[in-house]
Amino acid sequence: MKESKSIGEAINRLSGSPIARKILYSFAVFYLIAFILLPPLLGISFKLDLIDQVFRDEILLNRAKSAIMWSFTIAFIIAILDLIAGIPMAWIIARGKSNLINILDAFVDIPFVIPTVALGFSTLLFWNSNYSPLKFLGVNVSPGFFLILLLHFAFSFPVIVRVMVGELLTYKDVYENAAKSLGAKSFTVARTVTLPILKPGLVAAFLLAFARSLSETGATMIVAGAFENGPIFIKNAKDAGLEGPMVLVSFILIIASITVFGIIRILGTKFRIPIGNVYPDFEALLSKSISVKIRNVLTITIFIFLVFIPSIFITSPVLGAISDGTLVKAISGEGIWSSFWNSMILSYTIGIIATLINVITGFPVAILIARKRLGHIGSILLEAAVNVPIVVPSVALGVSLGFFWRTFSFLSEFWIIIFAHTTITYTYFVQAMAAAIEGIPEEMEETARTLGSKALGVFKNIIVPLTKYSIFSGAILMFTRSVDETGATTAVSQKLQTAPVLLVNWIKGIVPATTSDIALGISFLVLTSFISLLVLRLVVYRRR
Amino acid sequence: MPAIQLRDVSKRFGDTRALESISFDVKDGEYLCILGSTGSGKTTLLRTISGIIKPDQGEILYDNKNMKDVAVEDRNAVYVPQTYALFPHLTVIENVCFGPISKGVDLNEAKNRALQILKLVKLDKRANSYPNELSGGMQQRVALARGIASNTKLLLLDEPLGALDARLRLELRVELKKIAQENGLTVIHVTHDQEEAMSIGDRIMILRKGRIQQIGTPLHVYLSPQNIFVANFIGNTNFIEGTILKRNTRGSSIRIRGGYQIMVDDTSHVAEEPVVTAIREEKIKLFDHPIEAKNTLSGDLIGANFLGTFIRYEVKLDNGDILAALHPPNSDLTKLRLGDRVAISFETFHTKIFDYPVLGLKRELEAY
Ligand SMILES: Nc1ncnc2c1ncn2[C@@H]1O[C@H](COP(=O)(O)OP(=O)(O)O)[C@@H](O)[C@H]1O
Ligand SMILES: [Mg+2]
Repeated sequence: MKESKSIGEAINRLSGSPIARKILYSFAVFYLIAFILLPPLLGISFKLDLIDQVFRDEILLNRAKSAIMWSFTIAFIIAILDLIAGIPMAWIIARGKSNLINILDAFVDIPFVIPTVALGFSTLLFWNSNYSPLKFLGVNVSPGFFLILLLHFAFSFPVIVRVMVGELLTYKDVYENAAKSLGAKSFTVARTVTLPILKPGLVAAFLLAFARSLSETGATMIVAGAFENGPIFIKNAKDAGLEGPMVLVSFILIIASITVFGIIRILGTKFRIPIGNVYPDFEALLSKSISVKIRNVLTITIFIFLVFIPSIFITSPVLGAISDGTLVKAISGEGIWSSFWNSMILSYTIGIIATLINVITGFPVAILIARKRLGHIGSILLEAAVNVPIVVPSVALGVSLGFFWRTFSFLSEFWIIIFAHTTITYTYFVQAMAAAIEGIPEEMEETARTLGSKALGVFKNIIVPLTKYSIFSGAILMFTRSVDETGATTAVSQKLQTAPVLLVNWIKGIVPATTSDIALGISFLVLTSFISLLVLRLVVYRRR
Repeated sequence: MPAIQLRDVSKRFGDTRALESISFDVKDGEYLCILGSTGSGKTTLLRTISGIIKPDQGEILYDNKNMKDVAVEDRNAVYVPQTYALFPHLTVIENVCFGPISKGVDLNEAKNRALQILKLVKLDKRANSYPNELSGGMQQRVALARGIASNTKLLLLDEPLGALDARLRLELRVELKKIAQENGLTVIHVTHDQEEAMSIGDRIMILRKGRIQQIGTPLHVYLSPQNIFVANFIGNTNFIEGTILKRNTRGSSIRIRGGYQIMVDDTSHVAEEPVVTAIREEKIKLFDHPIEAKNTLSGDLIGANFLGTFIRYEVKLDNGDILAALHPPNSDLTKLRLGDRVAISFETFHTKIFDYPVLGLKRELEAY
């Protein structure tokens, strides 16, 4: 006890030394470059000469161009729509007083904990089932552009909500009170004061949703039909034996999206929205408590019908599974279920370890970015590096990560999967944290320093408590993403099967499984994630 | 226009009674200063009046209209928090425009008016700066301009001068009052600085632990403090504990510690009653030699502090009580050295007698 205290003190004292801090930051940046940036890039770079395949073939080239164009179009539409739907949801969660909010809050993560392939199937099944609200209107949603939009809307939704809830909980209400006492209606206050002040969070949320839509492959391929966006084009070409498109499209997506990110970042900090006219009657109408109620009901309805049900629809045969004996089979671990529980344990273990590694290595980088410790250009470059893993299409990411990590033959498969997962999830944490840290006035840190607090003290007593919810949100985004990741995991693993990989084998019929098996398997995965998140949330947010 | 009335307003936060049964009126166009130490409930009171906080009990009326169901934004009462809450993403002029625009005034029209108001507070040159580029005093004036521009008639100012340096505070004090008068504003101004409250308020109200202690014109409160706490809080006051010995039609005599006697002009207490005698520090005369007069006590000089316009002498009387006396720098007295024998005296009509507080004198003087 005593010893650990003195070790703690020693570390605290050490944190006051500039050299120790430099070493820590250098290590974090090294980790970023070696473990997050290089693995996705190297695998692609080694095959750079294959690009020629595409340039030699005009049809292929045109397909590539149109696919990339669609990717950006869809990502842009999705990020905007999700912002519109997600902000009111974040508001409900951050400002709501009922304890039920905790459950709603946990429900929001569900699209994130369902393995992507299962999510694709679920979306496809739902929109063509008799429960589809569109079917009700006589519209069948066949695979293609529109179904992709519906799918992407669902899986990008949690990203926006998570980031914005973190932002709203950190935000102080003095500005809102001041604005109201000057006569602004609550809608006007949100539009002209709160949201502009939370701009860093909005930008981060937008970019994460944008990137997620840009790169997702596993679920998209199920609902794409003949439609091609970037990742689907890569997938189709790869199935036809061509890897050139993968290299080219990945590169273009990386470069183009980093450019987009850079532009949005620079504009985001430079560009200040001037105050415009207010339409008091209209905005007063929107601020009325009845309007707020309507908006809340609408927000929750949209969430339920466009996000929640389409995501878990694949588990609907689960009731049948309880009565037809599958549940007994599952619990006793009979037949195909014998490996299921091992996979579950493996998935959660990997999720926890990957999350911990990223929290530790990602925090210093988030500070570097938020505080612009490496200068303006330095932060932009750092941020670009952080974003690479989520803009590389996941098929390409899988190939690249597999290629990279298999060269280290001394690493066990377990660690290879963990490193792959840290790469895939790193961005979510660092982006959310950087935005949150940016929201803490630097003065507060400076004051703490003048009060004699060493760097570690400032970190522990100022940054961590003030960004508690964002740390939590970032960790949830990473953890759930790790638990549901399928595509890249398939590419890097050989003998070990995480739960999503196993479930995909069931879904695709590689392992013979009944509908009940599949529904029950996914339900277990969702339920365990849901319960652990809910418990975690109640522990972290007991006070609310 | 707005006359404000509070009727029996109370507010608790858990076990903390932030406001307890507060009732008072503010007249239209009046400048009311609320004076209290930190934690006395000043901020809570302002936030309750503005509607940001709902009281647990009681009513708030603006012009006889109950505000219970009127939202913050519909009260037309501008609350200026201690930190000003200037919107960091808007320029100075945009901040000033915020109120009018929120109420639907056209942007250009609002800007013209904002510019006029910025001239009034001498900040028109900084119209396009952002708040973080301004000094504290300038930020304060922007907050004020923003309030005035919103066309409010009621300003609720939370320690508006608290963050400024002493000289600026004096200047802005005058300016604040002038602007309020010229614009016909009703102002409730909260402060912990008694000099500020006395110099600026038409009336002042003293708040302690969420309860009103006294309300009245500064002079009235100064001359007739209602209780020991107010007597101590407003001005510098000596307190002497004692027991009434005798009383007649012109006054009473009091026995104080050590068996000494003093004469006061109070006739409202009966013999044997324990009392506290209050005497303003500036009403105590100090002598460097023994004198023969009524109400004269001798002792040793134990402190002398130069306060700018006064020297504050501390005397330990022979009975152990310590009294302070304020004197202008005076050639005779400046020769005094610590430890010298001195005498003090005071007039009977400069004393004020209070009942001895139930919880003791010390407890009564504490703000918490
Ligand atoms: N939101 C709150 N939650 C809990 N206690 C509060 C809150 N606001 C004020 N208080 C308490 O109420 C009392 C009065 O506070 P306040 O009105 O801020 O005093 P003042 O402005 O005079 O310093 C204090 O004891 C304070 O701790
Ligand atoms: Mg206060």
